[in-house]
Amino acid sequence: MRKSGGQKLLFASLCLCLIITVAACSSGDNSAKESDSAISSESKASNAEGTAQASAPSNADADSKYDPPVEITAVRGINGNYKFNEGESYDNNVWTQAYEQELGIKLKYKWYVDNTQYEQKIGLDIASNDLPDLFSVNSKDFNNLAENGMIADLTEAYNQYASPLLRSVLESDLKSFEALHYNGKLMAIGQPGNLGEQVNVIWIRKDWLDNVGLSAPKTMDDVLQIADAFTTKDPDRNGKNDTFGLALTNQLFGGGFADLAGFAYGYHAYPNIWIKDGSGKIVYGNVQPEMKTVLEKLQNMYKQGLIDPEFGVKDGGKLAEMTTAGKIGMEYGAFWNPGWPLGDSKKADPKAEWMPYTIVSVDGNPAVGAATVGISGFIVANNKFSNPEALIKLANFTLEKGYGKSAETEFSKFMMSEDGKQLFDLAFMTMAPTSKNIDIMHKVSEAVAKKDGAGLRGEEKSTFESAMRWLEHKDPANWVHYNVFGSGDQSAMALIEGYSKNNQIKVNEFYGSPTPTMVDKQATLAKLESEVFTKIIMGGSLNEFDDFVNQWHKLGGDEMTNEVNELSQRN
Amino acid sequence: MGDFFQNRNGALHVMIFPAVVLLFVFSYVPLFGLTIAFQKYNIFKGIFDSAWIGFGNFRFVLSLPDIYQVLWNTFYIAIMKIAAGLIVPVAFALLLNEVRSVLFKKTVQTIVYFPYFLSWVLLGGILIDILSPSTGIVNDIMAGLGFKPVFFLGDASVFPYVLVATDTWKSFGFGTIVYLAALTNIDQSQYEASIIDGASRWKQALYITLPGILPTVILMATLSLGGILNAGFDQIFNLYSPIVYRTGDIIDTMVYRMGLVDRQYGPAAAIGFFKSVVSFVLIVISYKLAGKFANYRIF
Repeated sequence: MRKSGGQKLLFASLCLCLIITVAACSSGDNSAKESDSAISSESKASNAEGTAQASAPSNADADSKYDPPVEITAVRGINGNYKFNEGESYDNNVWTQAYEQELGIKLKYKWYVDNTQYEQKIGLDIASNDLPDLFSVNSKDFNNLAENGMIADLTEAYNQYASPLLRSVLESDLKSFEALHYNGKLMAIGQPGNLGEQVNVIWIRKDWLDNVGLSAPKTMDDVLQIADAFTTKDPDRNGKNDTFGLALTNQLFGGGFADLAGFAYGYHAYPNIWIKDGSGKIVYGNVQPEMKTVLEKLQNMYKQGLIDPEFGVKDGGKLAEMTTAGKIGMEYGAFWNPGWPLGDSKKADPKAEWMPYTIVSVDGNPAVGAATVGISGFIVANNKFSNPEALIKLANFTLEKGYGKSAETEFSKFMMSEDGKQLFDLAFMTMAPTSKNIDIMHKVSEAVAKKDGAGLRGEEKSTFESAMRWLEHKDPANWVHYNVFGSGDQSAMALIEGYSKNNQIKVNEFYGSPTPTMVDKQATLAKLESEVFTKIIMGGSLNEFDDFVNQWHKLGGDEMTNEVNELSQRN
Repeated sequence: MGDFFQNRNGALHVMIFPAVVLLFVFSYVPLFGLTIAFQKYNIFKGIFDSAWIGFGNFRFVLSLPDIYQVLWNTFYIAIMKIAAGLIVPVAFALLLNEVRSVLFKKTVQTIVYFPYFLSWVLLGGILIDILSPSTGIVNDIMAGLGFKPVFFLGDASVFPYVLVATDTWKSFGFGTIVYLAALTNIDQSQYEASIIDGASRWKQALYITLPGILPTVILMATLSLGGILNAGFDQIFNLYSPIVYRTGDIIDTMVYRMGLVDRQYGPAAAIGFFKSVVSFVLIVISYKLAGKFANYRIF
């Protein structure tokens, strides 16, 4: 977890390619700026695809231009590797020019720093209350800024100016949309994540399955049977008893690789999230009776030697080493696992045929995976800024250039140039439809089947090319693209789409910044929990689970539960 | 002005000035941040506007159910490390001093000094492999000698000793070099005199070498007392896991989890403040002791 966190995160973010870069504006000396300028009435009303929300109010002004232009100051994180053409800079490029020509917005960056330092730098600006007009923050700072009245209410501007495309992205999931609100008011624009992408799949080595004569799992019993065979039947045919049935780390749940959350979903247990119980009350997943069943099953597996007796000292990085060394043939993990670490396994042993399978359940009810609403980067407007609607216009514009009608002709001008330059890095913000990865999967799989990538562009094109490189040259570095996006129904991303289609996603009832009791007690309770759970799996008495539940309630759990329920009623 | 520079002390004062400024800026100015320990600190309000809550943060920390366990672990592990960190390098320096071959001596010195330069992040991964009960080389050797395998990093009853052993292994090379340096300061004529009086190597070591480096030993010992609440965050963070929390969790790792999970600046500052006070008291005491026994004085 520790050593590999960065690596995983890096890959996840590359894979999702939802790089939200941001800018903001300074308030400082430009109090006299033309912010009062009336919004030009010559609306273009050219929105050909005004089909989206019937309920949406007229968006005739969505594309209107500021005349005279308004100057907005901003700050942003940058991708330090970007190579500019002659004469270009963050202050002067296709995006800033288009903002000025098409929107009448003169964007001035107060500063830019590398993405890795952005959070610190904006933290300083917040602490010294020297904030630009538009800027991006994380969820914790978002809540604090909203609470302290430092950012603008965007509700009205959104209702008036948001384009159908922007609405369809932001409102694709109502919980995510709610996360952009504070006390019922829209206070930020942000990229919602795709919830299905958070749910694990079961990664299994198909070559091992064939060796032990088993087929894809349909129920949890099948999973246990596979684990048993992978331990006892020498799945790698090396004549040595040196493999384990199921991978797990000392973190147990979470991490996206060798992550037992998917295993728990099979028994209808929901680790680390808050769920509604039968009576509609919100309760904590880890103290529900289903969790006891999960621990009991794991304990049995431990006793039978199906899991590594030393798992208690091994983190994700160690597990990745074991996987690469061919000791592991089954793990619950995120769709991006072929990037890390399964790709390494593939490089070490080309026979390793990792395949994704949908999570399964112990009974007739399908397994449901858990997801937490996530917004990557809250873009907010300074409360002192008099044109907050500019943020909505910029968001409209960004989506239009990348995914709207204009993308058909201007994609290579704004998003990715013909020679592969990531022009979207230059934009004030980046946004994409939440179904982006699934759309890529469909297009790439279709193209791969036909072996013809005509008409693909940008990410679709590069993903297609990589997938073909794998198919034609068996270059393991390109296997990930084929496995995740290019193999039709067998793509990991197709399983993710299935989760959404088949209603196999349960949304965490709690999101946002921690409640006061969580702040005080979470660390203590988390320590207690990981100690007890690990002990039980390693053969401790199952009664310890009941003791833990009692203690959890006593040491702050009850207060947390009340706070979470109150919060959900307030929203 | 001319007088000032001709006066030798004047020039020295000028030269020390930048260091004093740096010390002031980086060590004294941040002391104001200690006020956070007495506040319900809100980063948006800052030090000046956050609410004062007196000793609330200290009471909160002391009310944590596992705080005494953690304090005890910290103290226990640190004391053992201080003791081992003294005895092992002194003994090793004495042994090395008896070696005649310069090449051998230097080679050994370099080899034992080497782990000192490795980071615990790296060693953490290596040690998990080396100490593994099923595949680790240490347990292989022990099995060869007829012992049962030990889960060094996963058994709460042995974990603190593993910490002490690995920490000593990593750092004793450095201490050895300090004591070897001290050894060179011993007046050779004392050895010559003792040889004339018929002293054996053992007696020489006991009555000349050991007393000769004693001031250095006492100095190192007393100075290390200040670190009594530093049980070694880097090391423990990279080696511990939930199974050994009972004996391996220390103040710093607890603060880390508290700070990372919950961003509790107030309690974290309170713990830091508490550690500083304890260290300060011990440093004063040890300075007095060093002055008394080793004749070591700064002021």
